[in-house]
Amino acid sequence: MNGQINRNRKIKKRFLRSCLALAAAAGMAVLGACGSSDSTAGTDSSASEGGRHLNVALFWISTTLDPADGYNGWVLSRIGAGETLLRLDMDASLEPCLADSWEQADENTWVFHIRDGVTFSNGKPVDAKACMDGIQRAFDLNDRAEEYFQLESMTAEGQTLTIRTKEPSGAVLNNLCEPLFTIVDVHAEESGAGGEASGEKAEEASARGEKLLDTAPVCTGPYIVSSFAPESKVELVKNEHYWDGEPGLDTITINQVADSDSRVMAMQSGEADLTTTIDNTSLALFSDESQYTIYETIGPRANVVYMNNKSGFLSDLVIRQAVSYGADRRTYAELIGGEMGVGLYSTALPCGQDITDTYAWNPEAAEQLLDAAGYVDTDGDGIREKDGQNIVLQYYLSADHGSSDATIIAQAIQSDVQKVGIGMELVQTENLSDIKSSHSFDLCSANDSTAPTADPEVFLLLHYLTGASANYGEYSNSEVDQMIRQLQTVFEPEERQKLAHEISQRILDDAACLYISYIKGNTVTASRVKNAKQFPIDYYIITKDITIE
Amino acid sequence: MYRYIGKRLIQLIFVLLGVTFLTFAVTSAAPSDAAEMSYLSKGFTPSAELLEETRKEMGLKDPLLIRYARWLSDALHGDLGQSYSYEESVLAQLNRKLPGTLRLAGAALVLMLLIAFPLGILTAVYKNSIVDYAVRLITFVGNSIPNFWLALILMFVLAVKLKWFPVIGSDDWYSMILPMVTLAVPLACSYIRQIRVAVLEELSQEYVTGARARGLSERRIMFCHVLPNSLVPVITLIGLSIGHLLGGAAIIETIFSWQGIGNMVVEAIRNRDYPVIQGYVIWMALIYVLINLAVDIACHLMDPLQRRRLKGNGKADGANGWHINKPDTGFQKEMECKR
Repeated sequence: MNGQINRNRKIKKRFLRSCLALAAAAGMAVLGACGSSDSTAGTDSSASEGGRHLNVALFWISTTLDPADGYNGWVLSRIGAGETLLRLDMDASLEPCLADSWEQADENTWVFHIRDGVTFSNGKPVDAKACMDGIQRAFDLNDRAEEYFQLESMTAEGQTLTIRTKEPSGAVLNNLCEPLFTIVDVHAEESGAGGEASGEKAEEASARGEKLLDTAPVCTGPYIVSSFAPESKVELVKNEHYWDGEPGLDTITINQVADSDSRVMAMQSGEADLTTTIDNTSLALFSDESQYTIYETIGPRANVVYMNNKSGFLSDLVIRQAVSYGADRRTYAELIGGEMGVGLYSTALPCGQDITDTYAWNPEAAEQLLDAAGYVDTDGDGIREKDGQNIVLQYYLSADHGSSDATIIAQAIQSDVQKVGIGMELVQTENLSDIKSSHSFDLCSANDSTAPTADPEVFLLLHYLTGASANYGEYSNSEVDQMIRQLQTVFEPEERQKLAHEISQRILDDAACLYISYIKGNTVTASRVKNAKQFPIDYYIITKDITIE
Repeated sequence: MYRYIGKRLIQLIFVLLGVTFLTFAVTSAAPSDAAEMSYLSKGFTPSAELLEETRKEMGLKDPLLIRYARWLSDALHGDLGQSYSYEESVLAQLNRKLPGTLRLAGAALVLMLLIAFPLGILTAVYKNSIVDYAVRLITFVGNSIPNFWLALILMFVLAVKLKWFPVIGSDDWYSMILPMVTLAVPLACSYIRQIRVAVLEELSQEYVTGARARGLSERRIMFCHVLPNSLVPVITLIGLSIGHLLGGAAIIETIFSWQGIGNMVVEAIRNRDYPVIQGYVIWMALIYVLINLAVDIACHLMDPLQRRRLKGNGKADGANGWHINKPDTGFQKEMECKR
């Protein structure tokens, strides 16, 4: 009996050894296969090995780099490769870039002088014709261009570029800063590859040109794209021909790291020297100033809650005002990180400053308004009634820009307005754009850039003009309409800002919607990275000034 | 056998037609149509006139069946349409994303099998021993951990602290280890339990007692008799897991910056990029039908009785031509093994 037991034990031991050996061998095989790669964990950034190299973790790299496609121009601008005629500085004001001066000939005509001595990264001079071709290409290929201004015609003569618009627009200068209008050498392949000399057909040369525009467009920025992997990686080298002094780095590697936590860890592991758009809650991880530097600036983007001005309970101004009084925006902004919102425009812009907070948090005022209008709770369920119906609002929301801000704001508003006797049901949806377009909501969340080019006009035209395509809350005020139309014909920057300020105040007074918070943009760098900036308008990240010690 | 495979492949055509038509009909019924989404996804809010014009140009005014027939004709010519959000065709996007998914899914599957089979067998052989309890605890923990959490923990410990692996993924094998482990570990934990149950069930069969009585070694009983019989239910599950893995793993791909199909489809759904969704549906329908077919064939090949019948009659019996997971006797098994 004992002998049988011992034999069984031996068999089991042998079997156990076999299993363990098999598992170990398998593990070694997998790791061996994986480890055979030449890659190593992390990449060094140093000033000594092969020049000054910077590793950047960006949340998005496009599928191509052609600035006329979608928002690809933004990537090109952010990585320091693309430039426009004018650009926006740290105060979101205009400054010269490829155009060193400009003037308005008449209401519809703008004349730009293209800076002398600027060349594309391939050494080809940048003249008015090259600029015209780049802008024309944006209009030909991207519908968004028309949204910025209606182009009538362009003429180029030497270094003088003339742009005529169909209608007067004071926003032309700011809107030309949109990276969609990046000046790119549209004939780069034809001139650079010697195709004509080798008898190459025109179509083939054109196809190669388009391919070059997709993967390595020839621009004027401080850095040149040397390799590109869609949605993954861009390698850049210093532009030896750069017109505005010597760039501070020799080479740059930009990696797409879509997840915010992964970007944090890429910084912590030393794989990235610079990253942007870190969640507010993770910024504390970079508080050690000896290792990291944090740059933060309020941008034009705002967390907003649209209210339906035309149908349902919120068509009643009193209820919109009560909701506005009931929402404790200051606390919400502190919670999600940012600055309390008041009017349409953030404090990054002159028109966003000194707005009177008409509906500063005041639950008592909300209750008084509702009581005075006769909206009282008769059945004791905590919700006031209007015409015998409980005032319960449908609040639609979805995660926007991968952030949980919309949910936090919705839950906080729901809790606060409940205290003044207004019920709210939160509806999480992935189909928010459809709901907004069909105006089938009482409230809905949004995350809007209210002045994408630091100019107030486009946003007002699209969102607050009666019947406009993105006027989701169906706001309508004939006086405001008139003021918006007037804004189109005002060209003096200060006057434009003043008028936009007035419009913003009027919309706020009408309790059209709730501007909850202005969002802070952030850039985090390793301490050895110098001269980085966080611009209010997020077209720019890599500049010629950034360097590494 | 070949007749059966041919029949299944013909069925595949009808499945694909049905799936693509359903998806096409559902996406056509969505409140925002293709014209509107093609503008909205580019951040451009079109005017009503422009929308109407674009709808005409895109043929969206035609009846559903005509639009589907047009799409089908294009698809058969290799044109799955143009993505609304990305400046490339759906086929180009699939071509760009699929290799990453195939590599990651393949590697995760191999690793999962390499972990699950030895440990599953081990825990069955050493049932209720310390080894069994320890592995059970690990599998419970492994099954309870959400993928994204495991991913972040692995990244923090192995990449940030120990610096063994990169945080920022590229398309090399080295960058694939962490996502591969993240995908494989929870799967393996679940398979260890499945394999353990399947092996234990076979170990309790009479033919095992018979084999032991005839003096066959434990190793031989395990590898020649028990394991092949245990594989049949496990293979069916593995088939489903392969389909799941090939469908992409959006969260893992995002965290590890891995270029795969999971992320692509999540973005497509978010942007209502219907042509990409349609392309993804075709891919999923294809892989599920083909994998099910492969699983059926594998199950059949694992069944010795069926193999012998095929050899004898030249064809399989049964309504579908197959007998899957048919219980076998110890004697038949022994005969098979001795051959």
